[in-house]
Amino acid sequence: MQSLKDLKHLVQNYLNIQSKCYGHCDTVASLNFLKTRNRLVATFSCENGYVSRIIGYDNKEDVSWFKNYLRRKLGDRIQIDDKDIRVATRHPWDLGIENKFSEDFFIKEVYWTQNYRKLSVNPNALAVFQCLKCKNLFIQELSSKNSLCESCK
Amino acid sequence: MQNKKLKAIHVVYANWCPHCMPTTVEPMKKLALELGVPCYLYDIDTDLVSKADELVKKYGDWSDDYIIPQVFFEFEDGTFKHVLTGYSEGVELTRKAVNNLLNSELVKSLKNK
Repeated sequence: MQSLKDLKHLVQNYLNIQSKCYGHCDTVASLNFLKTRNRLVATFSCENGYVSRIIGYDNKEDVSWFKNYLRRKLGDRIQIDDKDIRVATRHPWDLGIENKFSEDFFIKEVYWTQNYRKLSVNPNALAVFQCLKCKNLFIQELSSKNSLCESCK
Repeated sequence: MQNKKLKAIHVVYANWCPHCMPTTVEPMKKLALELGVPCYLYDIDTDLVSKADELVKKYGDWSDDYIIPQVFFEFEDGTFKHVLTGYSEGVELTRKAVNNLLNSELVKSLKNK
């Protein structure tokens, strides 16, 4: 079992990439860790705060915990569909860390992808954003230009 | 690292997916050729989807709308090993992971069999 600090180090070094915002705008989405007790969770969010994905990282698969976490964080205003949650196993040989870990080591990623196709029908639909200042998640209309949560405005 | 002899490589993929085509499928076909084993391709948009689902459910990263590509090694003793799932973070990471796999001790040990 990895410590959270070690796991975070691995994520920062091997699962960190800058990609295009998924479905919201043309800016870059980057990795941002969320404040979470005893678990490692991060977002890929763009320069305007829109969250493309929320990802849970662990050394075991725990989809139930992740779904409950999302429901706690996002409340009932954002629907968490099972089809939007997907899992992936990262092995030492594909991460390129065989020299540091044994063959049976792995990282489980659980992804929640904010389904833009569903939201695009209605620009007034609610969507998840990450405050550019405090990094907390907040909910507002998809078309909003605001990038700060209520507390940081 | 791997004592067992490889029997086949199995790839679950879709033609429209940039993580799959050509990023993963082509290198896996080439690797299979190099290792002298067949490479079985399961396009999820064809009738092969049921076989793809079975592989992913039994040995891979299963969810309702599972991530592609997923690559499996089948060994001569009948066992399967999940070796790679595409990286939703970006195609660049999937490409890097495929390269890491090709250069891995795991694959090197299969070449020495």
